[in-house]
Amino acid sequence: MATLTLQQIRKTYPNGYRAIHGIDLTVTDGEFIVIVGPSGCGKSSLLRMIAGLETISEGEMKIDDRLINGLEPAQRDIAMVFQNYALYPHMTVYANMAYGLRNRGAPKAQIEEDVQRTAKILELEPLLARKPAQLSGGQRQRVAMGRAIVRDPKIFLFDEPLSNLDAKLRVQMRLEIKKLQRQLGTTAVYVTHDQVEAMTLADRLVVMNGGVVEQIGTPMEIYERPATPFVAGFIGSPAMNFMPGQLHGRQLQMGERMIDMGLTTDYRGSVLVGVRPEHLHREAGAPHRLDMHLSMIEPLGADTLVYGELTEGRENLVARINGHFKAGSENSMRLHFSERDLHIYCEQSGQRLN
Amino acid sequence: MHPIPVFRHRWLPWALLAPQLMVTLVFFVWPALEAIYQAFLVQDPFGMSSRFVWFDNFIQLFEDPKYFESLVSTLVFSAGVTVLSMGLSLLLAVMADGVVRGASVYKMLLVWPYAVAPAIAGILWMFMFDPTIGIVAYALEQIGYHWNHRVNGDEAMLLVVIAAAWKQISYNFLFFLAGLQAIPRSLIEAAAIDGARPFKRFWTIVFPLLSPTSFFLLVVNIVYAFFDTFGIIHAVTHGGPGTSTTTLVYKVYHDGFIGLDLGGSAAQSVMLMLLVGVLTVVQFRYIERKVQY
Ligand SMILES: Nc1ncnc2c1ncn2[C@@H]1O[C@H](COP(=O)(O)OP(=O)(O)O)[C@@H](O)[C@H]1O
Ligand SMILES: [Mg+2]
Repeated sequence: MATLTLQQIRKTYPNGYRAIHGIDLTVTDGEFIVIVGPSGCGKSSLLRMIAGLETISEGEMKIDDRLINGLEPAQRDIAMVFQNYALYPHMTVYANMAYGLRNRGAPKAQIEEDVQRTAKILELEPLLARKPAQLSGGQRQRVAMGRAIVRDPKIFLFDEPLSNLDAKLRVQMRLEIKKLQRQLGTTAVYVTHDQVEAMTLADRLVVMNGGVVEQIGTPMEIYERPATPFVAGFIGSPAMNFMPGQLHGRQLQMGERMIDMGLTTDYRGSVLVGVRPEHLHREAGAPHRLDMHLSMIEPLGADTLVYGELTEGRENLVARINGHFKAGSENSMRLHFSERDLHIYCEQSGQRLN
Repeated sequence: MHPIPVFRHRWLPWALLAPQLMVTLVFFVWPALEAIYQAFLVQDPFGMSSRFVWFDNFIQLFEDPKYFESLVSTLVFSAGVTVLSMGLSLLLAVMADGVVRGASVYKMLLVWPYAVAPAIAGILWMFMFDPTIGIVAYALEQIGYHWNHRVNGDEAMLLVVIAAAWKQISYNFLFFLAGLQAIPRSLIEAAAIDGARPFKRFWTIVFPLLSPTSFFLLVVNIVYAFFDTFGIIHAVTHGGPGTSTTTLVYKVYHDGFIGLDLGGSAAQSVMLMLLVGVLTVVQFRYIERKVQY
């Protein structure tokens, strides 16, 4: 039960490297926040500052109005699940979970009760006497979760907790984490570079790039209205297609084509036009069209990905075509799209214009 | 897959092994057999003749209170060396593990003592503690302690323990440091989040995870203190004053080469061989199995 507030948080490492350039974020009580971004963008640095494992170079961090900049990790009442789980290898599962309670001087009976209750939630009861080396990857992951929730902390922190699991377990654990967090109602900050994890888990997403926040919003807000070309390209799979264009007030010019965007902006000049692969259709229902040279086809079962080049601009293009796609002898195809599905960004500033 | 025969000739592997086998035979196996043989002989004082006496030398050894005194000295010495060198090197390793800048310089400096020959290390410490010209003895004098390890047996023991431990610190340090660096940082961080203060983290996380290293070093240090410290003792105290620093190994030398009791000395060697055998078994039994966690 806690809120977490970050104000102008910056991180400069002792070697002078500036990893975080001023981040503002408010996490409300019980919210599941996912920080997503490419590797090296500063996600772990940010999370470790919240945990107290790295010093905060500048800015203020608060949990429930209490300034925590100077507090030790133990005093912050947070729990963290590490990528490699960081289970104590010489202790049993029981001792791993009890360690934090013991250090806080909880009475023995209380520890026993808490550990048993947590073990029950996570179905760890048969494993309590085992050492971490005798557990499978998924079980270790569960124990790491157990160690975090047994203390009933104010905030859960997760640093890519699923990246060491195989694909199937990852999906399963993802659902479990989400379910547990809902059930416990504990505020959570979760770091990942995997956009599927990010989209499925988050109440709100924080998309980071190069030490700055590019956009904060619900997964659907971010998918539907990415604020910058980076976010547009990073969220969504396959990534959004980009083509050059010219904006003349409300009219968008792409090659020979003029599209009435109905924009109120008076910006004139070069723009980047984005359209998601799933918004390019083969049916003639949408008003605008483009032609592409086919180069490769990837059937995914439900959908088919079609790769190629724009006939007039030679930009690479991907389309997600519904259902079965029969590759005929023709090596080009016509695709239709609607102006509502276009994302337009200023070429210089990257600012969204529609 | 089957191993591919690399050597086509039977004699080639033997030829390649020969130099090592020769060294082992001439300098280890032969003297050892000779010692076992000698242990059953008594020589006349002039070394002109010898007589086969079965186990008389061993019986005399076990009836000799001096032998047990020497055993006790050896145990005190070994315990002192092991505790001091392992304790200090663990402390140094923990501190070096935390050093960020210039870590390699610290490591290099700490490893140097290992390259110093035992006799030279001994002389070094002897000079520092020399009652008349030694700088440490002088410093002790200033604070009112009169140091003279040539008269005081306990001081002599302390001095050889320090000298022997100093030489072993480098070795222990390297192993402890490697052991510490093999512990994932995230474990320490998890413990910090779990509310353990630094000292508690050390005792409940770091130290247990170092236990395989510690056990290995324990055996190595005991073996070192028992068998590998002759040079230091010879250089610093000659086993004296009296017999206060005469360890079992030193007594072998003393009784054989000074006392000229070759049979008795050989019997002591045989006892030491048995001891090495036992320690080796312990080492293989338990270290191979690793300390379980
Ligand atoms: N202790 C450190 N000292 C110096 N630079 C660091 C340190 N830790 C991380 N960095 C740098 O900070 C940047 C962000 O790292 P990190 O937060 O781990 O990224 P992410 O978790 O998003 O992959 C990286 O460029 C990394 O090299
Ligand atoms: Mg990271």
